[in-house]
Amino acid sequence: MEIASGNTLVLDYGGGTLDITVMRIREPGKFDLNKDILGSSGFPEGGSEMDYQILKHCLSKGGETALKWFQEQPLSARQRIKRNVERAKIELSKEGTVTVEFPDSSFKSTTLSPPDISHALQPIMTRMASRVTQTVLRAVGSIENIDFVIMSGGSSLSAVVQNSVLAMFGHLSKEQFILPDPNVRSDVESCMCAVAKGLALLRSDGFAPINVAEVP
Amino acid sequence: MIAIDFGTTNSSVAVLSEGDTAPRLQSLELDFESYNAQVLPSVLCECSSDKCYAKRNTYGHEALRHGYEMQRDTNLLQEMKLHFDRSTIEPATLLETKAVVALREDRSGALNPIIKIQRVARYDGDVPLKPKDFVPGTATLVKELIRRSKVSGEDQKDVVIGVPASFGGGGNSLPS
Repeated sequence: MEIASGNTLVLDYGGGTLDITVMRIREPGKFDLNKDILGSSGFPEGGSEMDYQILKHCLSKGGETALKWFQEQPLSARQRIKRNVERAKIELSKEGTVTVEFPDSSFKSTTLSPPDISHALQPIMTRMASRVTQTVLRAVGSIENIDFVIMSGGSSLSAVVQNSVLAMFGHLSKEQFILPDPNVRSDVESCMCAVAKGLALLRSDGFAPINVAEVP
Repeated sequence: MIAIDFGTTNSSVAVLSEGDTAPRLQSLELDFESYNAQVLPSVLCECSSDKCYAKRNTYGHEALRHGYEMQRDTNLLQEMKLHFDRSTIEPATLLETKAVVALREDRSGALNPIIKIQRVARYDGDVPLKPKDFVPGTATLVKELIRRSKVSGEDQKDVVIGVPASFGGGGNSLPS
């Protein structure tokens, strides 16, 4: 889809941060980096923090014993369990329910469904919505002044994240959202790699990057 | 030209050479655990075990497996970008001031207990990474991303890396 013109909110929601940019598109395929970036900011609770909250929710299902068991595990085991939760979150964007394994524990595993994820992520989604609203208001004065919303990054594949963003911009039609479909392979690939592609295109358009020290 | 999205959890690389009409995403990892070959988990495992003398560093999913399997002699570096962000934006929260009992020798040679106020590191949950780990670790991982990309020497002369919008205190414009 090509955006003809309008104020566009770009949300790049990755593992560590959500990068928020409000930009103005004057005509298809053209914008001036110095004039048309109306505002930008960041939000520090990305996919990793979501995984942590989902993990806490899983452990809360097992009660005090589960929490105590997790805290007693060595760092490597806790990391492995966190990885299992991340995998479950990814699978849940496609499946109805998933199982999270807790190897070597007395409760073995727990089942997660979309309402579990919504419940676990609600506090983060509230704070995220507040940060996005703040950025939009500063940039264009009102939520209604946003004409298009584009999402990229691994966390944008989450239904909870997409629904939270859709709810914020109730004045827009479905066609004004560009959201990745987790069931479409090309969507998943392009949303995971959009930043690298965009960087290359910006550079070829003459964007001057910050100089960084040479990699030793 | 090489464009690198160095992400907190995953990294990807696009190359735009002379004559290309669109950036070409690079295949970075062929691993049975990988969801997408164009994405490499931003993980480095440095191993000092004698068994691994021929291959000290592993990356991506292989690094995760190696770090979990080897219970010692490894330094598993992940989510490094997050540490950059925290260390540059948020004030340190890992130090706390508390009273500790110490022994002081008096003139007669006897040891007397005294209470001293000390600033001590507090590790809540996972032991955090330190700059001496994640700064060179990031450089090593970026170097590996470039090595795995199929690029000519000419392309390697121009490398761009994205910076999160949150860097610089939630500013209103992108860095220029």
